[in-house]
Amino acid sequence: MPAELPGGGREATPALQCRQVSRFFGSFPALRNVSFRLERGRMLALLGSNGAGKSTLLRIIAGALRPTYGTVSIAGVELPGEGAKRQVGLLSHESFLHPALSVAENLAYYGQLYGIDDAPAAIAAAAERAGAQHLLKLRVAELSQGMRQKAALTRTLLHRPSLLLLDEPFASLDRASVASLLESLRQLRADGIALMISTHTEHLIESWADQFLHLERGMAISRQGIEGEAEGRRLDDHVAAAVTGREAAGGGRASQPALNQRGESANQGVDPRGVRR
Amino acid sequence: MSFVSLTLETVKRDLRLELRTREAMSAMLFYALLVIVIFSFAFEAEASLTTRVGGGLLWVAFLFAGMVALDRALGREQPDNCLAGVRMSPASRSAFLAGKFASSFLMMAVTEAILLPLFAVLFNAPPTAHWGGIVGTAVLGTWALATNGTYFSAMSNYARQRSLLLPLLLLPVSVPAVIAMVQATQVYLTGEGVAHYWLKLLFGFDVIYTVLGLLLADLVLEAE
Repeated sequence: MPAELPGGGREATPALQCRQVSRFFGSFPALRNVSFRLERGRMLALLGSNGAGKSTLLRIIAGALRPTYGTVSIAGVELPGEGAKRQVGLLSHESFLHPALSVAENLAYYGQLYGIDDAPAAIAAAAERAGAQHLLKLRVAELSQGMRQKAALTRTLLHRPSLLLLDEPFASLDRASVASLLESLRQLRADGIALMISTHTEHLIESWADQFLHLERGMAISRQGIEGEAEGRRLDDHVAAAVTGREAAGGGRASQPALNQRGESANQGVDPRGVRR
Repeated sequence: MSFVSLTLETVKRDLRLELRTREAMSAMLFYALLVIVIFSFAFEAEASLTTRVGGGLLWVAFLFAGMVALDRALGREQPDNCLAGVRMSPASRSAFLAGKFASSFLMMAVTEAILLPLFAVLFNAPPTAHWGGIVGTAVLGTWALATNGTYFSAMSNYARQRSLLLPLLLLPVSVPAVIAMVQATQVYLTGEGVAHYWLKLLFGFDVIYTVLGLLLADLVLEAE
């Protein structure tokens, strides 16, 4: 079903569509049958405890890892297609910027990697959006954690992606840096960029996230606000069931109606593998 | 984005990093100097000795130095996982790897240009030696080591014992090239024998492994 764009237009192709994505490291299943879609200009909060598979999922969508099974399409182009990689940017724990080079030197090289014709203009535009103009001449090794995050955000925005992935973007940032990053993200979302944010500090984004996807042990145990993928139980119930193993034993608590972003009740069940029933 | 411009940018970036960190060149020169100086203590410097074993001695020093450069070729991308940034981009993996080949080659060539005169002095090289031929052999031999070595450096990049794995992978595959470079150098030092067969072998090795390396760049850089 076509999704409403912020500007009122209709767009048939979602910014991101994951179908039955699984990833094994050896025999260890880091991610199992995760399916969802994210429309343009929307924001998805990716929740879950440590080791739940959030970073693995983000790295798969960014093209840094390949899924063992399943497919990922970005703006209608399936990974690892070149067109898909042009549409996505990942802000991770690692900045992917070489510490011995200045921010501008790093960005100029990324400009080459993404085939950007007017790299200086693109760098200036991305730095302005990320609020990192004053950092361009500094070496990455000289930057504080908050500054490094801004430099990494500039790198992520350099090629003007339509989907931005953020892996724990607020970790180890002070309040001022968090506020600044949140402001940048709000502006990006207003510009029509789809955002997918993995975080433990969900109170920072819960008021403006459109969709919630909760992973535990590599499985999507709960979804909220995802079109056609609504769930019927509260997040806490799913977490408790997954952690205690009651779900597998069939001893979970009775389902309770949950409210999605729009305040609607959704009662469709999701099985432990995250597949719609 | 052209193949050539990305290759050149990768070379420029690597050389800039090397100038700032000096992590490869200083170690390369140190190892190579150590080999040449220790051998010069072990053997009396005389022309007859140089003509007998000079080719082998020279390439032992070049190989030691080269290993350091090749280990750093992809190891240079490890801080903040810069290689993942390349993998997430739509850039040509072949162009990236070609840039790495070229920067490794240049660093090895600079080290060899410093070592070669030192070798001539310490080992009392015969005045009849054909230095043009020795330089040509060094270029072809270094090309062989740089292409293969960079490829295997990429292959072993995520291995825990990366520095140990690289020579274990590189040297067996490079045996034909090593024999050719030592033999050709020996011919040019002594003036006895025919070098052009060895040079043809070396050139063929270079072309085949360069083409193979570039064709298989996706495979080795996407390996997890």
